[in-house]
Amino acid sequence: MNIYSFFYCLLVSVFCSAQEMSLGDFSMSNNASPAFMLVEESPTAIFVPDNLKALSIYTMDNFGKNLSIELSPYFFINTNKNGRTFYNYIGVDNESDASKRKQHPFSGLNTTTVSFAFVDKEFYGIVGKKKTYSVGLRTTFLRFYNTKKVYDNAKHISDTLAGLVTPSAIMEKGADAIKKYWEVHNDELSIALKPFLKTIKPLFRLDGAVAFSSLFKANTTNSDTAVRFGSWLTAQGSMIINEGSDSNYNNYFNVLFTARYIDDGFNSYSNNDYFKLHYLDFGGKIALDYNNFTFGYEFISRNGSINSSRSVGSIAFSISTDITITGGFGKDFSTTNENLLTVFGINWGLNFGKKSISLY
Amino acid sequence: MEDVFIGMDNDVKLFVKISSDAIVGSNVSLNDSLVKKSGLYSFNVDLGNSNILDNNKLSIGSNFFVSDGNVDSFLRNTSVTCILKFGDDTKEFFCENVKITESFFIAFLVINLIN
Repeated sequence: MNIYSFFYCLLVSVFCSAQEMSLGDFSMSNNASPAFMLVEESPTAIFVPDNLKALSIYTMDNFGKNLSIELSPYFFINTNKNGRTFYNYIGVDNESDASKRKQHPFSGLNTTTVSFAFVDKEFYGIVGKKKTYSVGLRTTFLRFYNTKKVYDNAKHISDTLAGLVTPSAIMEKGADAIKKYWEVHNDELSIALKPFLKTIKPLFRLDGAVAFSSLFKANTTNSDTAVRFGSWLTAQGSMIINEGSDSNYNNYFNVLFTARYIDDGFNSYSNNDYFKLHYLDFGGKIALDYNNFTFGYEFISRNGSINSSRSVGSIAFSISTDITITGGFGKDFSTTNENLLTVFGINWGLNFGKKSISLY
Repeated sequence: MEDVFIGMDNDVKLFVKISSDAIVGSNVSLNDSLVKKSGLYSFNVDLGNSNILDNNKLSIGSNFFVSDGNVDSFLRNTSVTCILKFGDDTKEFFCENVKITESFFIAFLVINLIN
């Protein structure tokens, strides 16, 4: 077991034991955590997580070398707090009178995440693979929903849920009997809940992230380190393009903009001659969610110590809730001829948890 | 299933308080006859006079839906408290949570009313 696998296991063990959880409690995927984005280990450089509700530990695994964990403290802190409601969580008032119904744009702060990453990879401009760790923080500063859509949908779901009655004779027998009862009546459950599995995205959201990364120059933990720091804002506007259709999915057209500052110490002329570069990146992305596909194209202009650009197309396909295939292809920031970026990732879940793998 | 002695000639009222980030819909039944459906996080039910509730099975089921995200974390942060008031007495119960699917879980309680 290498040092990164050890750190990963240690982190997961700490969180699991602290919260009396099993690894299977966590959802994992190869989403772009800030810790990974700073060390360029994601198919996309412009990303906001759609799944706002997720308690998440995300992992990405380049055959055991590159790993990332992202978690939402909201789900670990003050778990006994009373007075929770879906409406408080999503930031839309539970108010039937639309003229009095308000939304709370800062409710997305609940979704703040902390991420950690360990990578062993070749960075552009540095000879050989370097062991690197990274820490990131991400939050949603602002989000605005279509309040009528959120409220009406929630009320419709509540009415449906209230009509799902478990017989008392089954309840008397306990949790296992209830599970078995709804396994037998799965058709009734599926038909009742299927209309509500569509994702409702905010019309607009603004995310912010900061990340810090440290590279071990001699690949040992007691060697000197080079540092990279980044902070960025990402805005996303989303519009449903199949409103009212019978599709199982809400298909969205998304437009994203990003601005970020990077203080990059991961540059060297030789093994010990590291130096810093500073960049300001501005970019945009269009992405189309079509059923279980997402197609995207992003362009980022880099200005500062060097001027460059990144132009990448990406695709993601969800085979099921547990398996997603992602890929990216295009031109990376590198100013040399070696600027072709190809990324392919497979993400799947197993009974003991979920694991993801990436092939470069 | 717990027996609860509600005494003679008392008005019996049930208060249900739910704390969860998931969307909820609840139902309350007496001997499997539905007496209340609610989509609220706090509601109450007048069950009637204790004289007619003798040997009735009171069942409360709160059904929760999580459209995206990890259902386990929502389940863990969910609590359903049932308070039974009869005469001057009050008794408090906590529902047990059980995960059914990746988007659906139930909090449930069943008690036997005796006068």
